[in-house]
Amino acid sequence: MKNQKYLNMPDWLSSPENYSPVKQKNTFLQQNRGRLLNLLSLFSDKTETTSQPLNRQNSFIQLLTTITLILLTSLSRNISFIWIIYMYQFLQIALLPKLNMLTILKRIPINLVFVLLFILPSFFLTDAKTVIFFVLKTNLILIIVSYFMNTNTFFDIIIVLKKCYFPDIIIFIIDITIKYLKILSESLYAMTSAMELRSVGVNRHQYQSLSNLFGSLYLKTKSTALEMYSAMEARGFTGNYHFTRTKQRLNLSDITQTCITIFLITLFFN
Amino acid sequence: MFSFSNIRYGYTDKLSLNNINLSIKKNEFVCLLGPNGSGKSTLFKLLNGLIYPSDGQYTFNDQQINAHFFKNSVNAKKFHQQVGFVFQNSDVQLFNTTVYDEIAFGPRQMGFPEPEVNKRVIDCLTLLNINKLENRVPYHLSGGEKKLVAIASVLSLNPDVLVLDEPLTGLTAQAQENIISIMQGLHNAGKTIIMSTHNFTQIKDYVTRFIEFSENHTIVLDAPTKLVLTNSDLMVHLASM
Repeated sequence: MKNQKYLNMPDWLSSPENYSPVKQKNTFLQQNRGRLLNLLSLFSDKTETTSQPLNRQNSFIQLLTTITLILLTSLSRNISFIWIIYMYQFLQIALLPKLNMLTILKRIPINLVFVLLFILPSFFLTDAKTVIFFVLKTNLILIIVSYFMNTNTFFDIIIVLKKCYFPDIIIFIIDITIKYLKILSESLYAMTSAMELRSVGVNRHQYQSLSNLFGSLYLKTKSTALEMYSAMEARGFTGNYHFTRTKQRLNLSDITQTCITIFLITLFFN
Repeated sequence: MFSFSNIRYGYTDKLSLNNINLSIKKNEFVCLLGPNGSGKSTLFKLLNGLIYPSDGQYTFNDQQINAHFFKNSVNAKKFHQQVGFVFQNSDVQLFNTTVYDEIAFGPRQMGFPEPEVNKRVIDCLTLLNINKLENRVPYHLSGGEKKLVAIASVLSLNPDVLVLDEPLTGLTAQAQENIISIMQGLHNAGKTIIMSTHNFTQIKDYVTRFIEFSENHTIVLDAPTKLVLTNSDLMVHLASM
């Protein structure tokens, strides 16, 4: 051990702190940290999902299937057909890993309550059968969208946009916005965590502390944007953004999904 | 003081911490080494109650630390006062309008009278040799200065345990030496210090124990400094990290 050089350590720092905090209902920071974590999970890569062979689907095929299923559900007037799509959708959800499966299933009752709330007045204007049919269809559409959102990241969607021949500059703006949002939400999460760690007592100026936090975040946003622009200029950015297409080969899962979608389209027209 | 038993964090096929068994006693000076992404920062987050293990048990002073423990605001506040954390990125840790207010944030919350708050702030500024920054806006400071202010803002809480995530990164050689001597001073004063670094050579004479993380997110070495310093192969290995 090296001999330490002389340090004038204050007395209070050399003795244990005899501090007893008071009980206070102050979950504001904790609640918002939880919400930020949920927001961050939107940007994360769903490695767990995609690592399962049965769910490793081509994003482009998935988008086409999702749009087709939503269209078929909206246009169909046949209750049996709606139940078939329900069965197919639940089968797909059942093949997902536990975590993703639970995320989708947890949302179903909440979606149902919201749909019922919006539809409730129609009970007095039309027959119950039509209303139930409408609720079933709306709920199914929400499940289809939820499945797509849970098996694809924003970055997958950008790749799909490229395949749909979207202009590079639009893809560039979306790409940068998403990356920027991720960085900012990560910063905000870290800042709220830091604030929570140092919130060891009664904060008499809680809103002032929060406004300081958002002020710092604003300054950071501005400087990050300026730094990124300078970095792009320094690398010779002229406004053209070349986005390399990543080749995704079709696998058995994609072929199966396409065949089922074609079968559902045929069933719809019969 | 701290005890981790079979701790795992993350998804099954993407673990950030894998089967961590570790106990840290009071007044130890522990240094965590390992490549980037090996799980050091995740362990620090877990240690500070910012995240909870997916599997396994974490206890602090024989009290199990989990979401339930932190639901009680008294528990949470006492824990955060006892365990101070200096983030790797000091930028996120500073949110007040002046350096003085930044350091006074904790003591003021603890209900100290303003003369005591002032004493703590001045003592911390002096200890870290940053008196000249007292009235500056933290946002406009340099990276190294921000790091020193972040350490001062945690020290003013007088925590029993000080956790520092790569505190020497981005500092001048003189500031690094200053931080190391402060850490040693705090250790001598009875504090428990847990820090991570990539610079084994600089820290080897001060810490009491080394823990090395591997790319597989497991602990591959947990040895007292005395043992490490007598093994030349081990020293070469740790110095090359």
